[in-house]
Amino acid sequence: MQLFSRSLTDADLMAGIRAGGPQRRLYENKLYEKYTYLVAEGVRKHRLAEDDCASAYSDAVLIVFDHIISGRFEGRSELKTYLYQIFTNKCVDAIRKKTTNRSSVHDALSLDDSLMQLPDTARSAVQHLIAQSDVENLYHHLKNLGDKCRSMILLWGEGYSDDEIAQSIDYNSAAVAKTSRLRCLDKLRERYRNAP
Amino acid sequence: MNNELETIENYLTGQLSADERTRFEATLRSDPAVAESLAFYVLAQHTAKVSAMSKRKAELDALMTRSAWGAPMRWVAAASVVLVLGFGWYFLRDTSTSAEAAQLAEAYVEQNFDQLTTTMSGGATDSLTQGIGLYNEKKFAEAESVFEAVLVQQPNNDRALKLAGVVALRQKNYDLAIDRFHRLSQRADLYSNPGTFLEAITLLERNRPMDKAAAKKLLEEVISKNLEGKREAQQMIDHL
Repeated sequence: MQLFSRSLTDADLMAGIRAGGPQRRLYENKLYEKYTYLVAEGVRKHRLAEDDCASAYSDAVLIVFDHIISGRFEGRSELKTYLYQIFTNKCVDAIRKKTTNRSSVHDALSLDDSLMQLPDTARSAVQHLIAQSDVENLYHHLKNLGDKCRSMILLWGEGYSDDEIAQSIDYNSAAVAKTSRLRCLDKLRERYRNAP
Repeated sequence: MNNELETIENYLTGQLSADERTRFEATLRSDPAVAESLAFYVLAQHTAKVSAMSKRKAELDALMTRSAWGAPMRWVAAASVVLVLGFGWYFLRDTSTSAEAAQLAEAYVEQNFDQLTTTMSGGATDSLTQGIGLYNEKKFAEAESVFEAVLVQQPNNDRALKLAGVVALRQKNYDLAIDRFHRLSQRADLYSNPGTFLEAITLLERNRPMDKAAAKKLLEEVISKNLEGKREAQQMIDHL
């Protein structure tokens, strides 16, 4: 198994991640493990503590996963080069942001990106509502939503399809997973509305 | 209520017909409640994505810890090779008994882990049941994938960790099995922990130089600390 994992090419890893399903995480983990040696390089080059560098590496890898799944990384450059560039940026960010203790993942994704992906009509209808919203409060309610609902919503956030969610949570079909997921989302909305 | 979110989702994922889309956009402009729901949907998806990334980050960081544990083990392996070269005669003298110990461990594994029993219940346990089913059909690699997937979802699931160790052991992937059993043995929150005993068995079966001595030490620990597998450890240690 270990020998097998060492021989996986970048193309294999990308195909495995894109194929989705329960194997996606395994391929993601293998990709993470394949380039962990970059952390030592980051420590040497940027003179960061090993923990900070490992954290920058995790952030970079998570972005690469996202770009592989969304198709934003098309494989035109080498995966290692692509990861290395993002990792270097994250190391530079880590040097700059040493004073803040907020989770770096929060900074990896901005709400503006989510807004930019909306159709124009939708964007103009919700832009001001989103600007006024209390995101931290929503994090809090999501955290306390109950295990099953929370894990379903997180899988959805990670871009898993209802079919994949159904497999992961042992539901009979994608339709059942979708209904349950939307019900959970509704439950989250009720809590967010009623107990700000 | 559910329908409203579903319509919003279908709109955002391009699943509405052109007509439905136009109608929805008209309502969106005129009805603040729909706009509010859409805003919630976008916000919730963003929150879910960020939360999922935080969770994944913690899982990845755990992988880093594991690799860090692996690195010294490579030095241990390298040191073993040096020792074998330097004191070959000593180990050659010891080979017959080490081989017997390995056979003993193998027999134990054959007897106790040929078929695993399942307990039925919901959630992740169902995945474990499925993995055990595959294991019992001797589809070890597939079973391992299932156990690994459960561990990714629930890194603290001790049963999944034990099963992942057993399935690695059955595939004679000793280093991985030792890593898993060792991690299991470090869990201080379990009522009954077979990790140390199973790590000892795996060391015996792997049968590299020094493995027998390390296994003996672990078995002694099982006995002195009254850990799971004490009775078997007592029987086994007499033969070492």
